[in-house]
Amino acid sequence: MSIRADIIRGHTETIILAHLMKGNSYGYEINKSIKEKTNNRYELNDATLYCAFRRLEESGYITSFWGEGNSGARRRYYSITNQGIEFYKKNIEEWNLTKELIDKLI
Amino acid sequence: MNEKIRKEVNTLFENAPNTKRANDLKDEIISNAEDKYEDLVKQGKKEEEALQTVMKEIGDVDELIEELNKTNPIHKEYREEARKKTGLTVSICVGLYILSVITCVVLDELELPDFVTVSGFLAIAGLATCVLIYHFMTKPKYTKYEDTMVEEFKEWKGKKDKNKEIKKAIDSILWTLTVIIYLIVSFTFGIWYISWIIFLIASLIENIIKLLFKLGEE
Repeated sequence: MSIRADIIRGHTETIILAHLMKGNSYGYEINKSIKEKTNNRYELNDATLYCAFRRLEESGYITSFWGEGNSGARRRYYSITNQGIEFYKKNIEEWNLTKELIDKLI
Repeated sequence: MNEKIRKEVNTLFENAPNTKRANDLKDEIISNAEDKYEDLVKQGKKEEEALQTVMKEIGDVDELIEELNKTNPIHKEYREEARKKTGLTVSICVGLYILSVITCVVLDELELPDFVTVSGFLAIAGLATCVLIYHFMTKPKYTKYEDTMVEEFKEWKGKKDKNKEIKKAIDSILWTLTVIIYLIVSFTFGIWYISWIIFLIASLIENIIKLLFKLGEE
């Protein structure tokens, strides 16, 4: 069975926020956790990931800061803002409603 | 630090605009790519293979950069418009200046009284000057801060320009004073044969001030 990636893609931002709800993180770690949680069935491509970060940051839902990476290169960490938490909760509510309706309809 | 990944990513960014955004993105991509690479190697992939996988997944950076630039479309359009407006205004004014000279020549040929010729010339040139002054005084400054290296450079340069202005002011005060002192001393004591030396002294003072400025900057 193939995954309808286009449906998931619409929720990229919520997925990222969900990860950041548990604490600060960075690009690779977020993508790795997505891969693990879905048993390697889904993964964001890099362009999608970075674009989502920029959009979220510009909207004020996340902020970023530089920290040390493993190998000495600087690493960009993200953390969720209060606004982001609100946005996340709203999206979850919306999704639950959608899920409920779709389940009834199909 | 993995030099290979760094090198590859740098190549990808070769044609990217040299902005802070692009540089940040590059660093971010490098650190994430390094982590991914290390994981792949740990999982038993060959180094070459891991590198290839990592680079393939980064994909097309151009698209990404285009996307990043797109987030600021209003800014670009707005500046484009402002530039066009300035271009039009300046062209019209230069045209008016040329016209004012032509008018002057024509009126003179018609052997009208001088004051008519001068008035005609001044009216047109004056109009052009007014339009120019109005345009540049009402022209909005950069309303939105653009997050680029260029802006940082401008800011740095702006600071430098301020220093320059202070230097200029000191210079003009110094030389005006020198001339005044030269004239007063020379007239009062009638020592014209030697009083010119004050200019050499002033020049010396100027250089000392310059030196002090430079030392202060460092």
